[in-house]
Amino acid sequence: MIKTMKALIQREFWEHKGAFIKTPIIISIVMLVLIVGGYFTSLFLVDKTGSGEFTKQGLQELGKLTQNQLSVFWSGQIVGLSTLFIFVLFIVLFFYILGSLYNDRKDQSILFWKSLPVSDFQTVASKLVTACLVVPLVYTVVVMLFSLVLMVFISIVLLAHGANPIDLVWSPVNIFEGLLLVLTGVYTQMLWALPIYAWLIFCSSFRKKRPFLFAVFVPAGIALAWYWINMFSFKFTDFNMFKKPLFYLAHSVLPYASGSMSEKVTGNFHFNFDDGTPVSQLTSNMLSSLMSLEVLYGLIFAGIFIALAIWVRRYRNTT
Amino acid sequence: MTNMITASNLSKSYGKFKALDNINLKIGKGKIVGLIGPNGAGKTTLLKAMLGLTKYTGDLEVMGVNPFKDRAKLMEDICFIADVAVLPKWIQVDQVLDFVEQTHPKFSREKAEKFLKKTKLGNKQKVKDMSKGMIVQLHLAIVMSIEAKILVLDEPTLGLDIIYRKDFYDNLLNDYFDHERTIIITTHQVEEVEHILTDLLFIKDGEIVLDSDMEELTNQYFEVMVSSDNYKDAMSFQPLNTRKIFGKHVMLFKNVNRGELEALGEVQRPGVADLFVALLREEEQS
Repeated sequence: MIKTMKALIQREFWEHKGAFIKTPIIISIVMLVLIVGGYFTSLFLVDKTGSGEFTKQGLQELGKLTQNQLSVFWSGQIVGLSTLFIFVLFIVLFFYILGSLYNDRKDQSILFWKSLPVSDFQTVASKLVTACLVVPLVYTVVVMLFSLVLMVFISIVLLAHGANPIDLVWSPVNIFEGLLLVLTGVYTQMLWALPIYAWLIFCSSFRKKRPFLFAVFVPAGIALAWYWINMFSFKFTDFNMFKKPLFYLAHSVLPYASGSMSEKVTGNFHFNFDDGTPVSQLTSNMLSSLMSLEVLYGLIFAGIFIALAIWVRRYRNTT
Repeated sequence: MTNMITASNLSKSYGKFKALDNINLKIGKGKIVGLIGPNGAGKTTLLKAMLGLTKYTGDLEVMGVNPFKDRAKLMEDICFIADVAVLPKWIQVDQVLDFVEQTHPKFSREKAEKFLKKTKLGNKQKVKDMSKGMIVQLHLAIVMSIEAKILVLDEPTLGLDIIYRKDFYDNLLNDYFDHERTIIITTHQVEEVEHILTDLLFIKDGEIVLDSDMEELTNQYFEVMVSSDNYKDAMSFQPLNTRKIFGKHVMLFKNVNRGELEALGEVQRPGVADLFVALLREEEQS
């Protein structure tokens, strides 16, 4: 059973190596090239025009900060950096899941997969485990490795300008705290996105054609209809078909903000520096956001649609 | 004789169309069964029912198991190749071997690699870079390396060139078949398989038209080359079918005394294809 599951997950990585592994690495490389390139351009251009010692000034400013402030500064960089990766992760998983039970039906290789002693439950489970547990871990590892590479580069720059990278970078940066933040981020995203993923995998299993259009426009259509009915008639429920899916979507795209997001108030970022670094506050905010009824409803919704996806795969998808 | 597959009153409809109409059959252990029928006769539907891929009414047992309910379990002992080349495009030869090795308890990687050595397939080659024939070769190498009790081949050699087709059936008979296994084959190229079959199943419009073993067939049906001189005499035995080749009449008889026929010309076992055509005509006339 475990051997089979391992083989199934391995299979997903063979098929989607580009999305799961190459994509985050390419993003890292592109960002690295931009940062390194940007540094050298600024060095070259700014110093040539003689308008000032740009880098030196920056270093002086950095040197004025206390360790605590430095730590906050670098935390901000980690938050910004990983936000991009987590956003891409959601997009990648969105399309991966949407194709997961559809592509093999389209090219008819489903008949080969079904000729092996693997149950449809195992098949669907392997795709969800890949999307929900394994790929987020891969992205986390890449983000962390990328951060380390970046820190090494910054250290070299600092050394070249006679500054001390230990004081300015390595001692204020808390790598463990960063790792915890990204891990919490990807899995908070997963829990909020689970109802969306479940809906997508259901569409992937259920639709004979164009799962994307169905997956996006059917909920949008229902929401719109709901909106109009509620506008013209008396309001029979508080449940808002428009806002609800968007609420989950927003958490999935920006899990870091999930502790400070609500349907009524948004943009309520308040950091109290005495309570720890912004990173640890973000982390605990995310964790506390998971203790909500919304997450629970999402899980129930997800359970229903995953079960439906398995059922359709098992009993209806034979060619 | 142990029955591997038993069907009674097996039916399947798609809307008003009856793909399978009250099929009753038994397939025993150690048989090589040719399932022959025109397009749309229900061959693939029947195979799909046996493989647990489609719902049906009536009773169907494959190795004592309801195939639709226990499909995943059943797949340990039953192997199949569907009529369309279905290996995923992105997979590499070594990956598909790894995957089957991990998921199929009865797969021998050694055997598969031995089969693949005879082909031009490279370890890292992707399915999308293979010709149709190569894909079939890979698929067959996998299937023939699985110690299954039942092997179902739906048009297995479609798209293969003639040399490989012959090799394939020779391999199937020499390396794979051991009288413990049961093989079910559908194909349009009947001539290629008839020498290895032990049993024949003709299917038409969802019904079994003929269910017979080859020996019985040899004792029942005769093909006689009748010269023009004996034409009238021969016609009195009411042949099922008559065709003309090189000025001679080739006639197909059922249940006529062999001795009497030998007086008319050379007697031999009819080809499966001829028999099939003749039986279908007979059906239509009655």
